[in-house]
Amino acid sequence: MSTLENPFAADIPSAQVHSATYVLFGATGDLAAKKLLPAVYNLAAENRLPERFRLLGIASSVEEASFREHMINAVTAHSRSGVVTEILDHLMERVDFIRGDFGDPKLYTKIKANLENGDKAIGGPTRRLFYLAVAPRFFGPIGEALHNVGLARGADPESVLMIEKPFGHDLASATALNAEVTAAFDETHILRLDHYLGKETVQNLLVFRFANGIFEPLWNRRYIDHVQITAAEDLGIGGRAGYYDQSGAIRDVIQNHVMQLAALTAMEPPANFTADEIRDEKAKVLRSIKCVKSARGQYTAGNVDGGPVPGYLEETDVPADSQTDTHAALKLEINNWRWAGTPFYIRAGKRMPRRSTEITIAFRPVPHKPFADPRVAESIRPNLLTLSIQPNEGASLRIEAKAPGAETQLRPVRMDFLYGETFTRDTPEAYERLLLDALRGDATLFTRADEVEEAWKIVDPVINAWQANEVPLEPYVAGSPGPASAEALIRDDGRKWRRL
Amino acid sequence: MTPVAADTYDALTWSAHDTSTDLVADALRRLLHEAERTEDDYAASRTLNLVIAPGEAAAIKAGMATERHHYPARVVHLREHKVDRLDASVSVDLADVGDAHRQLLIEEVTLYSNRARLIHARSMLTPILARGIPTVAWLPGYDHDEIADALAQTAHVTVFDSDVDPDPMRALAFARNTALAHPSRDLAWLRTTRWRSRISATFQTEERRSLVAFAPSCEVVGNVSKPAVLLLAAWIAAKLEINVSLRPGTGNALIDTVTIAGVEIRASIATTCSPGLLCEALDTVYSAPLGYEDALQSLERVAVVA
Repeated sequence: MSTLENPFAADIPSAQVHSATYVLFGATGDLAAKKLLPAVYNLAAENRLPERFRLLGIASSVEEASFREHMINAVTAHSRSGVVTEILDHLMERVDFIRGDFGDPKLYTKIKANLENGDKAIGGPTRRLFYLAVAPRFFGPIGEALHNVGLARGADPESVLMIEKPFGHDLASATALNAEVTAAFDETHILRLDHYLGKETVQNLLVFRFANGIFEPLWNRRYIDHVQITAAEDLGIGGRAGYYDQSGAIRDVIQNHVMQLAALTAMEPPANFTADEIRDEKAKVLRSIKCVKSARGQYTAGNVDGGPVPGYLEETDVPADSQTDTHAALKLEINNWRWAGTPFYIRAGKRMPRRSTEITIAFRPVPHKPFADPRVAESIRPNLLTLSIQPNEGASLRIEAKAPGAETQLRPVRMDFLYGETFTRDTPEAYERLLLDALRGDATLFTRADEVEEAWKIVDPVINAWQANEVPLEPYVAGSPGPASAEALIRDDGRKWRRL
Repeated sequence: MTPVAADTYDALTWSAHDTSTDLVADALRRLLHEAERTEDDYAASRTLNLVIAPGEAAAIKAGMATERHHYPARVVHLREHKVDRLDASVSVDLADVGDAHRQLLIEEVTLYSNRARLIHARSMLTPILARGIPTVAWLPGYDHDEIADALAQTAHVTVFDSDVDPDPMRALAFARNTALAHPSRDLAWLRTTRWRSRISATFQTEERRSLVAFAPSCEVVGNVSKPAVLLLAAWIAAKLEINVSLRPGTGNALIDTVTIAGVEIRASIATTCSPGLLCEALDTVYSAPLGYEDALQSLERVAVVA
């Protein structure tokens, strides 16, 4: 052997997973309990964690013994694959905890000492993944404190910062937040999570577009009449009034998840599937998007799932005069060669008839209908391609077919591909995939600062118009598809929303 | 399973003596149509054809128990009998699979034939296999013969397990002949996946890499009668371009220790737990396993020592 390369790594794709210490701030919080700790366990159960791995929990509220109990309970309650005691015990041997206040500089000295000692104990340096499952106001101060003790930019071994939305509440605050975190970490070492991007179907969107020769030639203004993206929830706001009333549907879902789906649907083919090539294309198409019309609504008392539910203003801790949107619908124009003249209609809301996130590609109608019977010609409906993100991940193509019989009667039929039926293997949780990618150092499924800022540039003018009451806040009954103005937004163009 | 009567339908099963593959294919179509008519909430998807060569029923049952949950398949069992005629049975059933208890349509065809016909399996299988999806041939036993060759010609990938053969040298000779000629997945090789990952992870650091760069050496301790162990040792030999010593182990594990450049790696939970190997083989129908051919071609570098 003449080089110092690992001679075994080339044959082992999983060897690209770096040895790591996963430092979890907010380790006793809700996100950690329901998603992050079970994700670590499931990666351990599938033997996807690196050989040298430690988890260091950080929280201010409990002692170490309580944290260990909390973690075991969280994994037991929320692991998608159940729990094998032997594997959990083995994982717990690699778990450590520090109690401390995020604002206390001493905490970071302790973290540094723990990391150095932990590395020695497990036989070598580990890459550090600092996951901030904490309120965004802590992102900047924690980043700065890590930088002050030499655990951020330029750290050896390498340090990575992982943060999750909201990334600001408008363009100015997002830019400020990006400036704060990039003061401590290089942009290439910041992983912004949008858990939608960890979903199998969202990743499949890229495969669907770029691995199937029949779709990409049609994927443009010539053949596509319009695109609809829906992110509907049947649930209300639960106990999240404090957060939700400050954000509304447009900040909670449209600015991040839906804009990411729009970007993946509309972007140009990347030269290759590397993180920056894909993110360059997403940022480029986001720069071309402009919102030309919007509607907003707020749910009133109604019925969901057969039972009565309160209106938004009756929800716990919601101010009686709240003007927050629980439903947002936007008509977007994409001003580029591929999409000029083909609108993207997007909507997101709470207390809609059912939970459904999907992208629908509505193809243009046939240019000529050669059927003698005018009723047959009139019955022809355009083809629809629907990519379902949740809850039933899959794809469906609606085509016209002749119904059996002596008469020529057309019927729309669906060709369905459902992940759960074709691949019966359980799909990994989005957080598992994203954590695994972080361990691999693959940033493809994480959002870059310029994407976040470009998405805010699209929604900021909409929010400003709403705050100036240029677009009225309309009530809609819980359990209905949304306010009348959202229906009108698409109906005025001679189109209609796909039925939920 | 023995056919019970000529051309008899019983619910969603069919069987016949002295039949033809066209009639078998027709019966399968009719049963699928019948299932569609009587059941309305099931998954009719299939991701591959799985052709299973004659072998021990228990081994086949064990492999299928996990495979079915991950890869819905049209399954064709080949069985050998003495008489010169084709008998067949077809069953279409619904099974509750996965954590979500999905109803999955299970289609199974069993063809009974004598050896003279089985070595021309391709002509029997063609009308029965679903088109447009990969075909995988699984050889559940050992002592492979012309049937294995016939299936290799028919299938996109042949799956076998070198470790089931009591004669490791014969198993590895078959593996070398087959794998170097046709796309193949050897479950014995997959049995070493976690060991290979672990070895690679051990040498991620600069310090450890320098050890293997400047003083490469290797000793593997394990079950010397298992091709998986020989293949792992051969893979290390190929990667380090050295000869590797293989010593008998305690018998408690397939592999007890691997010592490379003085660094000893011991068996752990991760390296001993390997469920669902057939599923792992089916994960990679279109992508060849990395390192396997290197290992097969470096077996001469492995010396078994007492």
